Formats: sequence, C-alpha cells, structure tokens
Amino acid sequence: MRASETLRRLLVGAALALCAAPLAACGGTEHRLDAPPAFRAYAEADDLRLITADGVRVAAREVDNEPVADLDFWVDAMKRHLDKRGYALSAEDCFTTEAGQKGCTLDFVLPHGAEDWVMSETIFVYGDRVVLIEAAGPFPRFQAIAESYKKALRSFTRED
Amino acid sequence: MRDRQHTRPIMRRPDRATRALRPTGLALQLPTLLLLALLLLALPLLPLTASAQTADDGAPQGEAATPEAAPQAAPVERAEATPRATASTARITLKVVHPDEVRRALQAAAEPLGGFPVLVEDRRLILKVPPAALPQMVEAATGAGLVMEKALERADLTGEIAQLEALLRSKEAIFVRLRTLVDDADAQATLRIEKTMSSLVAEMEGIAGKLRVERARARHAVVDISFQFRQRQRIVYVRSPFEWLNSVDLGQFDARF
Repeated sequence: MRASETLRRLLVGAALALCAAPLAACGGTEHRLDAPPAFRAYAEADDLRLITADGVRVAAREVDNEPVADLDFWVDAMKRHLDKRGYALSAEDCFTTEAGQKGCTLDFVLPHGAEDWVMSETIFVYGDRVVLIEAAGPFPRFQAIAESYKKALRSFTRED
Repeated sequence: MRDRQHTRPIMRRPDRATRALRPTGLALQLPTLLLLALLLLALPLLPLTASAQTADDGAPQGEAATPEAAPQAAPVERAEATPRATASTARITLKVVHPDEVRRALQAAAEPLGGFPVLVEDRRLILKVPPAALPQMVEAATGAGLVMEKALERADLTGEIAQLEALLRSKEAIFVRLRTLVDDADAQATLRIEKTMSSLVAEMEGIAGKLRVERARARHAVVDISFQFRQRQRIVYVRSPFEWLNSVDLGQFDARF
C-alpha cells in the first residue's frame, strides 16, 4: 500500500514536472491585445501575432530586464541605439494602459529595399522582464492603421 | 688832389662797406642755403611719404600712384557696394501617405509665391522660389507630412560675383584698347590683334555666362523635397552594450515572425 502510494506520488510529481517544464521554457506568459479591425491573429502562434491584409505585422516577445532598469532607461537606450543604426525616430508616445501599466511606443522610419518602412517598438517593464510589442510595415500601409493600432495598445495585458 | 684824396675814400667806401657787410651777408644767406639744401634732400622722399600715406589708407603700396592701379582699386569699392547675394537650399525628407497628392499641393502652393518646379519625380520634387518666400515654402512643405529630415544650406556668392564682374570689366577694357590699336596697325599686326580679340571675346562670354549662373542662383532659393530616404541613408550595424537591444531589428523581426 505504502509502495503503491509512493509510486503514485512519484508519477504525479513527474507528470507535473513534465507539464511545468514547457511552461517554464515558454515563460508561460500570455500577451493580449484587442486587435484592431484590420488585423487578424494567428491562433496557433506561441505568442501574440497579428497581421493585416496588406502585410503590416505585430508581434509580442519578452526579454530579461538585464540590467534591471525602468521604462525611461530602456526608452532612452533604444532611441540612442536605433538612431546610431540609422533608424529615424518619427514619433514617441508614452501612455498608461487600461490595466494601469505604463508603456512607451517609439516609431522609427527606415529605408528597406526600395521602400521606406515603419518599425514601431512598444516597451512595457514588468519587474525582471521587458515586454516588447513590435510592429512593422511599409510607411503608407502602416500610416493607414497607425491610429487604430495606437488605441489597441492601450488594451494590452500580460498574464502569467 | 684833394679831390682825388677825397675821391679815394669815397671810392674805398664801398669796399669797406662790402668788407664790413660780407660776414653779415653770409650769416643771412646760410640758413636760406641750408633750408634749400634740406628741401632738395627732402624732395626724393616726398613720393615715399605719399606712398606711405596710401599704404596707411589700405591700398597696395606704390600702385595707387600709377594709373594702372586705379581700375584695380575700383572693383574693391564696387564689391563693397554690391548687395549681398546668397544661394539658399532647403532639403526636406518628407514622409507622406500619398506623395502624388502632396507633390501637386506643394506645386500649387509655390505658384502664388513666385515659385516654379524644376524637377518633378514620383519620389522627389525640386522647387525654385524667390529667397523671400523660402520660409513660407518650407513651412508649407513641412506641414504636409512627417518631417524625417530638414536641412538649410546657405552659400555666400557676393565675393564670387564681384570677382567675376571685375574680371569681365578688365577684359572689356583690354578689348577696347585693342580695338583702338587696329586703326594704326599694319595687316599682319591687325591679324594678330583680331586673333587676340576673338579669344578675348570667348573669355568674356564664358565669364558672362558664369556671372549669369551665379546671379540666377542668388535670385531663387531651392526647395528640394524628397518623399523617400535617399540612397546614401542606409542602416548600419552597431552593437549595443545591452544584449536584447541588438535583437531590435527589422530583419530579425521578419525572421521571428
């Protein structure tokens, strides 16, 4: 009886560990955004992935907040770094989401092939993690969705 | 005898008087002579003094007195009187959703300001406007879209124009002098003079052409509007000390998506 109980506990523990491993690997964090009307979401994607019919894309990802710094620090660091690389800052918008999280969006314009593209980087700092919502598309196409995308960012939530 | 005796002293008086007067006359004449000598010595110095005065006035030494120097001094005075000529160029990189519409609107905005287009392309528009209208035109352009780049260049053409004018005047003067020489010249000399005159005409036309170009540059300011980043603007790879920032890149975004 005791042996079977121990075995059962071991099996449950192993199963839990097996289930927990991928979650830990993936971070187990969900990023949500009320997608603007022009966007469609990839349901099978590991993280938030949105796209419009004309190819403007949005993706979310997380990185370590290393060294630990606040939102202003990362906004400044990103501006300086991308400026050095030749990205032209076209807009900066700092806001608070409906959930009360502070975030900042930096829009850059850059030459890409024969076109000029917009790359939009939105930064949220959650303790030891930095959440990035990245969007990119050719300038005229991005401008068409810019306002609705800006509004959608206010609805951003992160769930562990 | 008496008379003679009387006469003698009379005859001697002038001698005595002369003898008596000699030292006094010399005394009177010496300062005059010295003064004259001094004046004579000072005479060669007078032109030098004049030259020194000219040099003090700022003109080249020794040239002001010569008639040839006069035409050279004249352009300097004229250059000072020439109004300042400036060539202005405003370069704007503008991001707009519909470049065609904005291009048409900017062309229309330039017309009432006295401007006109000199280059109309899909992604570029170059306008020429009177210098006074440049700020208005730049304002109209920057208000039409997202300004990615704005630069204003100014080049002072005053000196260059004054130099070309002076060069043209001196060539014209030589031409006039050569023409007067033709009347008294023989056939061979006339041919040589005509050859020189024809080459002079070519030089004068070249200078006049340059002068026209420079004056035209000063008459209109250029507004160069690009609706796209120019070829020279390229993305370069720069490493950030913050590791994750190195992954913020359009190429990597494409790959991750």
